[in-house]
Amino acid sequence: MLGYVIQRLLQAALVMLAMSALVFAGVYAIGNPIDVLISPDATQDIRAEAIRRYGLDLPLWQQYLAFLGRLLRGDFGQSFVFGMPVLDLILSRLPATLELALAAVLIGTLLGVPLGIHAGYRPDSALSRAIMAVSVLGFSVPTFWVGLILILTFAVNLDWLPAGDRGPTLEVFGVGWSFLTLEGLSFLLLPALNLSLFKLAMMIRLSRAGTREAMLTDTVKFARAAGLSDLTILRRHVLRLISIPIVTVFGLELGSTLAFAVVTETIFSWPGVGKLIIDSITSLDRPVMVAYLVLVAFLFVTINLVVDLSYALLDPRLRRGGAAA
Amino acid sequence: MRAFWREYAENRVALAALAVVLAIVCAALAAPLLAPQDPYDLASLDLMDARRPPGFVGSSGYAHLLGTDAQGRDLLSAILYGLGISLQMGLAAGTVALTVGAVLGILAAQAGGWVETAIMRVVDLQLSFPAILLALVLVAVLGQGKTQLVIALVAAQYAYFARTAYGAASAERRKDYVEAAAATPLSTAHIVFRHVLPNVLPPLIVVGTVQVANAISLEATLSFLGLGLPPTEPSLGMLIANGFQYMMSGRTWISVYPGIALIVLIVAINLVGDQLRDQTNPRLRR
Amino acid sequence: MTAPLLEVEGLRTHFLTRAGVAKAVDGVSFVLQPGEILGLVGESGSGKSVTGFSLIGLVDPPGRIVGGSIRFAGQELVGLPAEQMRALRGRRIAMVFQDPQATLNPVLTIGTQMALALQAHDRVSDRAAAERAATMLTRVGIPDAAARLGNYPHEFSGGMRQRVAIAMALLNGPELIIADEPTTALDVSIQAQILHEMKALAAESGTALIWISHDLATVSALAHRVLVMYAGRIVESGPVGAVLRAPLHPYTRGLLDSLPAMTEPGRRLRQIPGTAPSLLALPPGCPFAPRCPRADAACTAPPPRVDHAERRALCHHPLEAAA
Repeated sequence: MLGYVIQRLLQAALVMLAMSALVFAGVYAIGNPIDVLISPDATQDIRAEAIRRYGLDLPLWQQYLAFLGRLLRGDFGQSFVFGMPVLDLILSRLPATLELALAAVLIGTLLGVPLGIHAGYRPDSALSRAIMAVSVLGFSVPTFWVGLILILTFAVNLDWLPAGDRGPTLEVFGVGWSFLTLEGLSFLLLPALNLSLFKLAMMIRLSRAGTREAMLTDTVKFARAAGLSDLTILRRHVLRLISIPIVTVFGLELGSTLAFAVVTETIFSWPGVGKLIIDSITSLDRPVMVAYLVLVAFLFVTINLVVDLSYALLDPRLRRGGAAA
Repeated sequence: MRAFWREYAENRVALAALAVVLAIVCAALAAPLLAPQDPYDLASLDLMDARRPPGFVGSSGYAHLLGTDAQGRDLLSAILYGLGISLQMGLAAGTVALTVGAVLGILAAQAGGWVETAIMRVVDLQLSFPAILLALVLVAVLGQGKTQLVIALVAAQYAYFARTAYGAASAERRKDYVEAAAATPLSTAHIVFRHVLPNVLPPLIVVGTVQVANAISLEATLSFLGLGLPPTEPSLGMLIANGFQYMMSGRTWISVYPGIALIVLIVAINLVGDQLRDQTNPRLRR
Repeated sequence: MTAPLLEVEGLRTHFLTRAGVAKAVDGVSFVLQPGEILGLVGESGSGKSVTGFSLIGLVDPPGRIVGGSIRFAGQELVGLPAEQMRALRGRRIAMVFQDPQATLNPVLTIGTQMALALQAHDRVSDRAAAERAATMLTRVGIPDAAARLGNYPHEFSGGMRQRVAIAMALLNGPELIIADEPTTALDVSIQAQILHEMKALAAESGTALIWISHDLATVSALAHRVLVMYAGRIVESGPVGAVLRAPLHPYTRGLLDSLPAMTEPGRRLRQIPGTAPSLLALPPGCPFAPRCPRADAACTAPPPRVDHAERRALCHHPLEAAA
């Protein structure tokens, strides 16, 4: 188990290194790096000073090492627009996005898995057909459009829920959270639903396919022969059998949900990282863009790592050697 | 081919979806003939006509069947032209991504060794990275415009094609006849074009169908975020974005009609793609 | 004689497929006494497994019992409501499958799986369930059973896994166990062990056993009586010794001749020519006729029943019974 963990950690570090090289190439090859480091309004003297300070007159490989060093120290420079260190800026917006993404993935999983299991258990029932129609729509309809319809229906026409913004938050551990108050929840609900639709569709498909496959196995037949009821079989046997792909997707989707939050946050004016990156793209706040990219890459690598490791916990066959497929 | 079509026609939903796709393509092609107004001709726009509800008879003397937008554009015309742009972007991105992906995938499968490892590592890494973020960043770096948009869409999507092509090509390479052909003094090009490509193409086309829909959806999303095409040629996403601010005040049609057009197009293409996938999936065949 | 445990009468289980109706079981009748061990023998596709699954009410769609009767301890099972059938399964009729690798859930401990099997029928606390499971594992010959309850199936060897499956089948003290080729996937040496233990366990607990196998040799070592199935029908039945000594049906003869132990060393094994017929298109009359050395024009008519002491066969031209 320990060897497996070390192996995965090394792999993750390697991918991170590759990603940093890509971002470096993107920034230093496509754009003029000085634009990323200081404001375009700066005077010639400050420019020259910055070029020296950041070592832009040095060979590329030395620059890359310096860039890497700054990344490791968490030094992403200053935001032109907000005039504060980029890392602090992003970290201050992160909880809102994390809360939204987590709520969305939870909704998608808690609704999608039971629905998908039902659709896999009784594939020909009317309810299952309806469930599959929802999943087709969830896959194909763009997120922003669903968000619009949600606002139109629940905020404009019915006036049940607020149309946007985050509303009040409750401070815990120095961070504000929406889900702790009823009013905060009312602000969280629509954006979370919006963001969850794609996950819902995916969870439905995944658990449906898994259930259909599992129901045909001898494991299920043997459990039936032992007199277990179908409900028990679904809850105890099938759920565990399909849990591995579901946990994988849960983890991986948490990452892509953070990315898709860009759209949802824009529609619902949710003050998270996604809205920050859109704002910084439109205002050409490049240090924020670079930092965001590196952090998202870091996030993805971390999530992949965690998912791989939780595999080992869920699948006892993998626990021993980690060499199995 | 005929049997394939007959099997396709058995699924009524897929048949209807195909009809819808074809109808939309025809409508978009014939937009200059069908639309009462050229929505890109700024001179013909009258701000007096702005934000009028469906059925309003404007200063040009005809009824705006679907109303007008904030610039006084006839929405029906804007939607017809917008559909054209969406299709154009989706098809262009889909075709280029398919080509790039097929070349990389087949190259990886044929070459093997470190070339294979390098290409597929990058592809896998990209597949785990959300397409929308990549497109967003590229558009931000490259700037706005049709070419830039297509590049961004291709960069976000080629990996799916590369994976598919690689899978099909390496399965093909292991088959006896390809190995036998490789042992004869035939050129690699001959093997690739005569043996590998014909087997790689069908799954690529299936993936391509769905990816065209995804490209259209992605383009609409980027345009909605204000990062797509320039506002002088509004695509469906931008029409929706422009109408968004008026939705709160009850002028819902400005967003809703372009949105419906977009959804119908995307869902229809997806349904066609689903049917094609089911029909070509050997695991579902009995 | 006591009342029979199981009376099967004219059982027919058909699969309604796109290509037509496959008559997997087509008119099977037999009687099983309490504690009796019955061997059910035939090639793959003969309908022996489907017969087993029909008895326990687990025929997968598109298969369906279309006729006949199954009386278990006086109770009719065909048409029994699903919930009553479920309550019967595992408690009074249990089943052991061919491949223990596939039947045990790889991601649940065997303790959990055994507890689920107990709790499906009784309100049993987790602790009591663990105790009963451990007792049963010890009985089937698993050392240090209490400690192994927390293990996963992959932590057992093939033979041990099958012992776990057998322990699960015995858990609720059933009156009948249907064993569907339970030793086929195991090594030969372990096969013999399990066979021996199974026989002892059945005798000890008074459980009747239906042993389904393609292998006449295993059945002869175990069963009191044997049924030979071909193309969905029982073509011969009788006490094991008599059937093996002098079969009535040419098909049984063919099966015997293809056994290595029945052939003198150095002589080639005799295979039955041809293959089992498609269940979708059975020939009229005797289904074995196309492969039968004794077949003639008469065999195009349905074969008559031949009775010979305790034995029966379906054949126009039965072999001479030596007994």
